[in-house]
Amino acid sequence: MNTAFLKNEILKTGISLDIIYFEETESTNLTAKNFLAENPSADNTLILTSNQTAGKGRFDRKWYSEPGANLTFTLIKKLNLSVDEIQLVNFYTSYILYTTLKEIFISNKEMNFMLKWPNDILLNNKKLSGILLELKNIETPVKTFIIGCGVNVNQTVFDKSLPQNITSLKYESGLKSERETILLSFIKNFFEKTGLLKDGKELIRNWKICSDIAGKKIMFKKFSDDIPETAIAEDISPDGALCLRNEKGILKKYYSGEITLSV
Amino acid sequence: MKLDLNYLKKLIKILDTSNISEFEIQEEGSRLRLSKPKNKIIASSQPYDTSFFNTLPPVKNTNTGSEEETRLHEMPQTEVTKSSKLIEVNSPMVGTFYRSPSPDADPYVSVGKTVSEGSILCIIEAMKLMNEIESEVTGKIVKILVENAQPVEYNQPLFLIEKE
Repeated sequence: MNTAFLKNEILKTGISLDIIYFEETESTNLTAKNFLAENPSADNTLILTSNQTAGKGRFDRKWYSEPGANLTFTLIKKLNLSVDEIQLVNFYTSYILYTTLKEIFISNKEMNFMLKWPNDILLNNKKLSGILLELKNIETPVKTFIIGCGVNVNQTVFDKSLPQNITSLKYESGLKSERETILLSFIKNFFEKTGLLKDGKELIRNWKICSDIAGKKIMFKKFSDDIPETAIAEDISPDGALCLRNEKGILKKYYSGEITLSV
Repeated sequence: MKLDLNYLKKLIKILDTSNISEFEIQEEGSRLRLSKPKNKIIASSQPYDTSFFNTLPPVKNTNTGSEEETRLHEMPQTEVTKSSKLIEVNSPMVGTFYRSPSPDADPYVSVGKTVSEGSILCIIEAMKLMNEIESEVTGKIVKILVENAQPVEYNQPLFLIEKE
C-alpha cells in the first residue's frame, strides 16, 4: 500500500487525518479500539492494513480478505450526535462508500452497485463491502465512532463455504483497481459531505434512492440463527428502521436483523 | 401495608420532590425504606420513572415471564430495604441485547460477578451498530433482566447492580 502517496494527497486536500498503517493486523476495528484505549482523545484517525488476518463482521463473523488485495480500514471519528442520531453514521458511511464507488465506475454500465439495509454494498447483487460500526461512549454528547470498512477490491478467490454470494471490483470488472485511489476518494467524500449527518431525513432519502428494496419481497431473520420469514419491504423510516409488512399484512419497524432478497 | 405500584409511585414522587433523603414506614408487620443518595439510584432518579417495578418485558406471554412476575410481587421486604444500593442499568437505545461479543464467546458478565466502573456489561446492537454498554459503578451483578439476543426498548432495565 502506497501510504506516502495517500498521506501526501490527503495533505493537499487540507483534511486533517492521521494514517496509521500496519502491514498486517488481526482486525482494524480491534486495533482501533486498542489505540483508543491508549489515546482516548484520538479523532480523525485512520487505521489501515494491507492484510487483515482475522477481520470480523457482526458477531465476530469472519471476513476473509486476501492479503494485499482489498481495502480494510477503520476510521476513528468523534461526532456530536444524540442517541437518536447515531444510526445516521451507519447510513452515512455506506452512502459515502456507495457514492465513491459509483463515481469511480461511472462509465462502466456493467457495474451495478446497490445499498442493502442496513449498511452493505452489493455489486451485481453480490456482497462487495461490509461495514461494522462500534461505539463506546454512548452516554456522552461527543461520541467516538469506530467505523470499520472492508471492500473487496482485487480479490478473486472467495471462500465458497460462506452462505452469501461475494464478489470484488476486479471479479466483476475484470480490471485491477488502485486501492489508494478508492480510499482517497472515500476520505474526501466522507469529510466533505458531513453536513448530511445534520439532516437525517435528507440522508435517509438519498440512501433509499440507492437501495432497491422498496416493495420487494424479502426474507428476514431477526437474529442470525432465526428461521427466516417472508415479508414485503415497504420503506426505511426516517430513523433508519426497516419497515416490513408480514404475510398477515401487519406492518412493523425493525432496528435489528438481517435481510435476504427473495429470488 | 399494601405495596401496590401506585402507592410506591406516590411515595417515590414524594421522596423525589422533597429535601428528605430517606424515610421508613412500618405498618402491619411490613417495613419499607426508601432512600435517595447522591448517585443515580432506584427510587430517586426521575420522578415518574417506575422502571424498577417494570423490570420485565411489557408483554409476558411466556411461562418464565409469569414466574418471574410472581417472584417480583412476592419479593421479601428485606430486598426492598436493600434496594437503595441497587443501581439499574437501562438500555440507552432500541436494539438487540447481547451478553457476549459473539455467539460462542463467554458472556461479559454473569450474576454474582463483580464489575468495576467502565467494565463492559453487554452489547446493544441496532442496524449493525454495536454499542458496548459500560458499567457506571463498581459493584456486583445482582440480576440480568433480559435474555440474550432479545429486543430491548429505550430505557428498558437490563441489569441490577449492587453498588459497592
